Amino acid sequence: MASPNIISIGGDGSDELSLLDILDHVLNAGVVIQGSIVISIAGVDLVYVGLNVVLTSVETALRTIEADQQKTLERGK
Amino acid sequence: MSCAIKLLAYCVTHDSAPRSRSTGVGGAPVQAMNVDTLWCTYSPLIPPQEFSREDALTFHSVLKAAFEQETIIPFRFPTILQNESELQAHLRAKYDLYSAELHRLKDTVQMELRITGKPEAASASTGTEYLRSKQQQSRTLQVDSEKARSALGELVLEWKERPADQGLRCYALVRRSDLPDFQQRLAGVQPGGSSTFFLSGPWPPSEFLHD
Repeated sequence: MASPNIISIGGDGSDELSLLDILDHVLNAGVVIQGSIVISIAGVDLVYVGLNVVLTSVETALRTIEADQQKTLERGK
Repeated sequence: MSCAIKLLAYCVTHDSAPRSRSTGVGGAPVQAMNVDTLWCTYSPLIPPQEFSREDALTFHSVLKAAFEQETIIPFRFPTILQNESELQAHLRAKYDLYSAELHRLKDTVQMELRITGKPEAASASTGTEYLRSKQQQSRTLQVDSEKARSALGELVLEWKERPADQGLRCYALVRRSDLPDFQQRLAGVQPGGSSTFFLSGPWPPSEFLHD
């Protein structure tokens, strides 16, 4: 990338940033089947990946709650 | 967790089973089943007490191998189903939705732009200063996002933003064939003073899936 303020992350796990991004995506993105998720993931350094994995997990949870609330409101109309 | 064999679901594709890795998480074989034109890739395995970080990365590499060939709908890791009947029932229940989404998102990928700003609010000495600083940071991030969005122009089919820790996450839905242009155009965008762009992708278009 030409700009020094743009950092391109490969997504191939070749560096720490791309590794975190991959973990973030596999744990937070994708279809969820109700009741099928096992939360416990060993070996994921939650201190190190906190800004990515943990917070985006919270974001995901909040989005789910908001979506549920929206659906409930729509059903009530 | 019991010792019975269960299924770890990877992703759903349309028309054919993707050519993927032969082994997946835990060294289990990667298999595929279909309901009409909808295919699901999965591994039969005895789920461990805890999955490891390596398991998550292997899961990613199975998805990646499939995604390099075509658009996929990934399952979140780890999605465990009891047996093939349960997976088939899920595919039948979601057949119309998954088929429509795979058709709509065909040949597209998701690029992610994280814009991070300097956390000036942390040094604020009063509440008012803190709020003003946060407001200013939010404005700067928004300007950067608009700058990027505008430079990318028609290459972006859909655009989504979500606030994130110390920044903003922007998701762009892009045609796979437009990826070189996308990266070239973004390289010409200079983020504001204290901002940094982190670009990652291509990823499966999970953010653009409809419920």
